[in-house]
Amino acid sequence: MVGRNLGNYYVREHSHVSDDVVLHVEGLSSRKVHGVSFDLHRGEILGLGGLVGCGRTETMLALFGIDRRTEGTIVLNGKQLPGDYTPADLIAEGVALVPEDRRGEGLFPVMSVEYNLTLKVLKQFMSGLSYRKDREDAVYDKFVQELSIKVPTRGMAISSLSGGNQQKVIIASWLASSPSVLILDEPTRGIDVGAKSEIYLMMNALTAQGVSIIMISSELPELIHMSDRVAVMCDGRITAILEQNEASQETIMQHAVRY
Amino acid sequence: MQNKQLVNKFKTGCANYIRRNGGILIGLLVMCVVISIVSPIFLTERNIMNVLRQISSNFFLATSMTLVMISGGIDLSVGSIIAVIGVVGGNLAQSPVPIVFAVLLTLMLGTGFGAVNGFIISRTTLSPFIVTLAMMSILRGIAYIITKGTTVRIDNGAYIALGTGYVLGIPLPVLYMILIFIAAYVLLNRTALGRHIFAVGGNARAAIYSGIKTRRVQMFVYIMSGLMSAMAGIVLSARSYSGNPIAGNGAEMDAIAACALGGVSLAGGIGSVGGMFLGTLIIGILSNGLNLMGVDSFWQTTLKGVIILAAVYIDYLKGLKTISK
Repeated sequence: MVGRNLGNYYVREHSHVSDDVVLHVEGLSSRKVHGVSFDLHRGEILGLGGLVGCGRTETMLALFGIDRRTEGTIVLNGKQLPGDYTPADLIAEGVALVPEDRRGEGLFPVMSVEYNLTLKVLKQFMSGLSYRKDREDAVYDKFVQELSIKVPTRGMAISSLSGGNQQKVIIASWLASSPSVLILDEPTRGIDVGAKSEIYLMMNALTAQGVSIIMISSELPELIHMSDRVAVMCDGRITAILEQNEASQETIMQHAVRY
Repeated sequence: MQNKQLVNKFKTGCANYIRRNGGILIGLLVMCVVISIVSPIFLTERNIMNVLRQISSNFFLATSMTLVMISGGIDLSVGSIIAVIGVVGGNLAQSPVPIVFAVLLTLMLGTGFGAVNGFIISRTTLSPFIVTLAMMSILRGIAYIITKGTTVRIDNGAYIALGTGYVLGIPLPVLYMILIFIAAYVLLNRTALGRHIFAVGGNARAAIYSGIKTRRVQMFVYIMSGLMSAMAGIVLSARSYSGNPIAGNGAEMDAIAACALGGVSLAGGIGSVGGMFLGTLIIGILSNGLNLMGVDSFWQTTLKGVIILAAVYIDYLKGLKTISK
């Protein structure tokens, strides 16, 4: 944390966005979400702003198949999804959700770091009764190195890591499933600045590889500087989708309170 | 080279096992030494086989209880399933139904009871404690209703052999125990389903976010619990030549105690088959040893409780130490 250069903190290069629509959401509704529609392009970071409780997280839960949807058409990679998909179906289609509440929804505190990191990709090294420990170790080593996660031993409980490293393990566990759409809900809440800037770098690198990201954030500078577009929500509805050059603290707040 | 690697792997495996279960292993050894000094019969082959036979049904229950507890649940109905299965199995064994069908039917019945538990628990937010407590009462009542309070005498040789027979000089219940141990070990350590069981108990919400079908996992562990209870019911009724509606009274407590001694967490997410086996051994050897030493049976029950409390307290002290480090 000490002695790092924080000058270039938000590192977004807005050059990775293509015109292909990866995810098309139309009229998505649930108990707390009303008719949300948006497109997500390949290589884009779509910021999702608004006041806390405006339905951003609920929109993503409805999209991910955790909250019950009442309405909505979802087209993923050109394929319309059936009405009753589950999180497992979406994960198989290459969608990943890093939840807001790290302890409550993201990690398995009593389990080891390696267990947490490889849980989503068991298929890569386990099938039936065969278990390739070497392949699991390879997955683990690859991501620990790629995200520079600081872990003394792979067998230690994840709860003994720092917040930033816990968050990196959770993100790594999703990256292991090589998603094409990555949903990050408050990805930098409660972690130190060093880990924060590493997460921004990682987001940049991912979009360069063609991954699309939806980022929910309550931190306005992060939202403005990291997003290619910002969708603002208020009371379960999208009130504006701002282009990069339109997004400012004033315009976002203006739309965030437009009931 | 390959051999050396294997030997090393085995060594680290053993070291891990001893480190993880150190306290209980020492307790077990001390107990064995004390009992064998007091009673020379203890270490005879005959008595050791006897102990293994006696612990077999508790081992079946404790194995499935380990799965249930790792998934964050508990199953109190196992003892009552033993009674119903014993009574139904006894009646079927005394009827003209071929023995193969009788066994299959009783196993299916036990699985069915487990499925009812699993269905209610996975579809609702009712606590597993209450659901299986109710089931415990319902099934115990059914066992009494079927026999009108009496005991079914069993004299079907094939059925009795299921609990008293030998294969290659090994008593059948001990053989079942070995097979079940291997199956449970492989399930928990080498399969995706095993990892999912840990996930559901470790953090149910995060398991849903990870795309794990938590309902199916819960169904699975309670069905296994029903199946293992049915196994225990068959073995117990065969060994006692009778289907008794009182059979298995308090069996759930012995199973839970064995799990707790073996380091399976009541809060879910933690536990191993190896640890649970040691827990089962302690409970079994304790009863056997106290019997051999001629300790009064009322005192035995009390002593068992004291030892369980002491064991989990030592575990708690160990936990405090690692936290303060």
